[in-house]
Amino acid sequence: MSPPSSSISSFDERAARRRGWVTIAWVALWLAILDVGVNVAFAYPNDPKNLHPSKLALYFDYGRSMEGRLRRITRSHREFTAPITLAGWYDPLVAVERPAKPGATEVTIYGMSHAVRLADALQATPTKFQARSVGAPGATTNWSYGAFLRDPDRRHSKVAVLAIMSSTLPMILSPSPMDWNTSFAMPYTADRFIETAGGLRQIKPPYESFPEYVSTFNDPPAWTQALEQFARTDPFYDSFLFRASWLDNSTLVRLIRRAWAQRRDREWRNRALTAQSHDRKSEPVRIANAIVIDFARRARAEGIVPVIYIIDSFGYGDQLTRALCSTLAREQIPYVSTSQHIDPKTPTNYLPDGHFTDANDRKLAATLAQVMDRELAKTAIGR
Amino acid sequence: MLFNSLDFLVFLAIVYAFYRVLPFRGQNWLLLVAGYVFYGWWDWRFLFLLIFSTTIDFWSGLVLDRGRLTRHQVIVPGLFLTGAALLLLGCNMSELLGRLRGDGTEAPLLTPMMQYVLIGIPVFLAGLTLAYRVLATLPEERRRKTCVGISVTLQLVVLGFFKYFNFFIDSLVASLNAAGFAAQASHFSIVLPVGISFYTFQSMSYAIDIYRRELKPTDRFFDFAVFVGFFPQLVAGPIERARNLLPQMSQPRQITGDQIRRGCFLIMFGMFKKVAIADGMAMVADQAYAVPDATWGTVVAGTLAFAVQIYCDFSGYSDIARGVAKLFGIELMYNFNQPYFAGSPRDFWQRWHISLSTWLSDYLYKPLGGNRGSLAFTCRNLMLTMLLGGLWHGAAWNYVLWGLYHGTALSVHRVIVNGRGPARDRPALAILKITGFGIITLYGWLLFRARSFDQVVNYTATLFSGRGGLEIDAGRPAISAVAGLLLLITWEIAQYRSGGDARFYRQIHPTIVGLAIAFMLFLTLMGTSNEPAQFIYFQF
Repeated sequence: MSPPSSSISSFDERAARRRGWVTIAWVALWLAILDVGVNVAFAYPNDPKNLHPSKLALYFDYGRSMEGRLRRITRSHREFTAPITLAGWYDPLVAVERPAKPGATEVTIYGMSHAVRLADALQATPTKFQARSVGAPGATTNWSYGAFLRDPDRRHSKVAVLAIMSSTLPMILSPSPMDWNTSFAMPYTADRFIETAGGLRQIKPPYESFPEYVSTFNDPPAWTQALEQFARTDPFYDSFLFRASWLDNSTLVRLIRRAWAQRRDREWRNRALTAQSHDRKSEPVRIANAIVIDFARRARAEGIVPVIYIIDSFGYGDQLTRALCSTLAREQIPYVSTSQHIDPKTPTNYLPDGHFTDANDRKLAATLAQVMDRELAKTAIGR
Repeated sequence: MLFNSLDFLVFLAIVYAFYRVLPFRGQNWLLLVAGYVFYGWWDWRFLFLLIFSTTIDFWSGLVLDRGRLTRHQVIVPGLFLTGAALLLLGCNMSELLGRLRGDGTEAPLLTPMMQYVLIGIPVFLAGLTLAYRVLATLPEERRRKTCVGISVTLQLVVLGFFKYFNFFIDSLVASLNAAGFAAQASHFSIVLPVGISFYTFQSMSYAIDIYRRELKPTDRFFDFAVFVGFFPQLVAGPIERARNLLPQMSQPRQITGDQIRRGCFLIMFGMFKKVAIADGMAMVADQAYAVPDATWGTVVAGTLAFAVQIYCDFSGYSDIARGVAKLFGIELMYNFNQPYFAGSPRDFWQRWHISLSTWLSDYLYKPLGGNRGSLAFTCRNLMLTMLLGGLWHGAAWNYVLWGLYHGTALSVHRVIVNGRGPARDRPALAILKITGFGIITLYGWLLFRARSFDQVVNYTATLFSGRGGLEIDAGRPAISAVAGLLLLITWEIAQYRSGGDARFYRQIHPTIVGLAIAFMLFLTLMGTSNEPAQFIYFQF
C-alpha cells in the first residue's frame, strides 16, 4: 500500500483550482437537490389534527420557526385546531377533578405532567386525600404559581402543592414555552415574575386564552406588539428561532436552526446549573426562591398548607433541593424532594419519556401524604 | 475550546484573518497567543504547565548542544516563566477577566497560592542557576547525559503527578491491603490538565533528538514556544516531532491553493466523522457500558459502536487539526491511515495513532533494544512498549490491560512471522485477515472502554457464554451516524482499493465527489443536533 501523498509538486495548480470550483458547484447543486428532496420525501402533514407524522418528517421539521409551526397548527375554531393549542391557558383555568372520596381532604397540585401524575397516584393511594390538579404540558413554576393566583377554587383545598423541576428551572423566566421549547409549539402563556425590593412583581402575558391568542396571532399589529413584549420580558426569546421567513422551506436552514436552538438551550441550562450545584446568584434560582416564599405566605394567609414538590429530573442530582433548602428551612415550608427518595442517576427509576415509573409515583404520593398529614396536624394543634 | 463548537469557528476566523495580513514574525506571535488562548479556554492555571514545559526544554536543548546560554536566552524565558507564574498561579484570572468585562464579583484578585509563588520563583531560579553552573563544568558527554536526564525527569515528574499520582497511591494501598497490611488511601484532589500527555511527549522528543544529535536546538525561545503551543494539535495530537514542525515555525511560510483546498476538505471531513458519526454513536456505547448485566447482543453492539466512535472521534480530530494547520501553511504528520483495514497487529499500529506509535518506537522500543536480539528479547521489548503505551492513555488498569493485550498480539504475530516481511495476499486471504484481526481489535476496545476490571471480566464471560442472546439493551444510533457510517465505509473502501492514497478522489468525476461531499455536509448538519461530546482523547 502506498503512503498517502502530501506533495503536489507535479500537479497543475490551475487545473486543480478549476477542478476545485467545479466540485464546489456540484456540491452546491447536490445540496439544493437534497434540500428539496427531503422536503418532498418527508413532508410534514398540514392537517393540525394529524398528531402522528412519520418520525423522519418530524425529525426534519424540528428546526422550523415557532411562527411557522404556530401557523400550521392553529385554526380559529376549536374543532379544527391542534389539541396542543388548547392546553395550558389561564383563562379558563382547567382543573382536573377526580372522583370524590367521602370525607377526604382536598389537595390541589399545580404544575406539569409530573404534578398531574402525582395527583393521580395520590388519588389512587388509600389516603384521606382527594387530589385535584391544575397543570399545563411542560409547565414551569412561574406558570404554576400564576395558575395558583388565578385559581378561583383554591380556597376549597386544605393543601396547595407547587411543583418545581430541575430540568426546567432556567425557564422560570419565560412567559411562554414558545420561547424556550423549540421542539414543540405550545402557544399558552405564563406570568413573568421579577424580583423587587418588596418581593415579586407579576407581569401578565399579552394574552391568556385561546380566543385571545387566535385573534392576536391573526392580527399583525397586535401580534407584533405581543412579540415585542416577549422580546422585552423573556430572555429566551430569539427572533431567529421565532420569526417565520421563506427560509423555513429549507431543510438545511431548519437543521442549522435546530442546532442553534439546542446550543442556546444548553447555554441557558449551564448558566443556572454547574456540575456541582445550581448557581444561587443566578436569576432563575433567585426567582424560584422568591416564588416559593411568596406562594407559602399567600397560601398560609388563606389558611392553606403550602407544600413544595421538588422534582429532580433524570441525570440531575439534588442540586435543586440544595438551591432551595435554606429558604425552605428559614420559612418552614414543608416539601417533598424526589431525590431524597429516588436516585436521579438511575435510569430504571424513570420511564423512557422522563417521568417517574408508576411505582415511584406511588412512593412519592405516599411521602406527600405523610408530609401533609404532619402539617395538617400541626395546623390543627395551632388552632 | 472544542473544534466542533461555534466558539472555535469564531476563534479560527479571527485568528486566520489576522494571520493572512501579518508578516512572518507577527504570524508567530499570533500563533503563540492563539495557542495560549485556545488552551487557557479550559483552565487558565494549567497554561503555566505548558509554559513550564516549554521553558525547561528550551533551556535543556541549548545546554545539551552548546553547554551554555546567552544572557538573552536566560533572561527572556526566565521572565516569561516568572510572569506566567505570577499571572496564572498567583492571580485570580477569572475574577481579573470578570473585572475587565465589568462583571467581577469582588472576590480577591490574589489567590492563596501567591505566597508560595513568591517564595517558589527565586528558589526555583536559584536551583536552576546552580544546576546550570554545575552542568557547565562537566565534560561534554556527561553534561549531555545529565542534562537530558534532568529534562526528561522534570517532564515525567509533572506528567506523573498530574496523571498517575492517585492511581499509584490506590494501587499501592490495594497491594498493601492484599498483603495483609492495613493501609488507607489519601487522595489529592488533582485535576488532569487537558492534553498534558500530548504536549509533554512532543516537548520531550525535542530534548531527546538534540541529545541524539538528530536535531539542532533553536536559538529563538518564542519559535520554540509556538512549536509546543501550536493550537491545532496541542491537546490531542498528532504528537509532532521537532524536526518536522520546528523548521516550519522558524521560516516564513507559503500558503498554497492546494493547502487551502485540502485544509478545508480535511476540516469538513473531520467534522463529518466527529459530529455526524462519533457523537451519534456515543449514546449506544455509553448505554451498553452502563448496563449491569449486559446481554451478548448489548456487549457486541456497544463495542462495535465504540469502535466506530473512537475511530471517528480521534481520526476526526486529527483531520481537523491537519486541515487547520494547512490553512496556516503548516504540514502536520498523518495520524491515521485506515486502521480497520489492518490485517495484523503490526499493520494496525502502523495505521492507528501513528504519531504515538512511532514516538513509542523511536523513544522507547528502539532504545530498549528493539528487535536487535533474540525473539524473546524482542517480545519483551514489545510487551514493555505496549504496556507503557497503554498506561499513556490513562491511569487505570483497563488501559494497562489493553496495552498488554496489544503487546501480546504483537509478540504472537512476531513469533508467527519470525522475521519474514509482509507478503502480498490474495484478496480472499486479505479479507479473511482483516476480518480476523478486526475481531481481535474489537475485543481490545472492550478492554479500553470498560469502566472497571469487574466489567471486563463480566463482559468477557458474557461474550463466551452468549448470555441473553441477540437482545440489545442500548439506545439506537442517531440517523446521521447510520447514514454517515455507510458513506464513510464506501469512501474508505474506495480509498483502500486505490492503494490507500488519501487523494484517491481526484480520479473520480467531480459530480460524484460533489455528491459525496454534499452528503457529508448534510449529515454533519444533521449531526449538529446530536448531543456534542468532548473528544475522547482530550482526557489523555
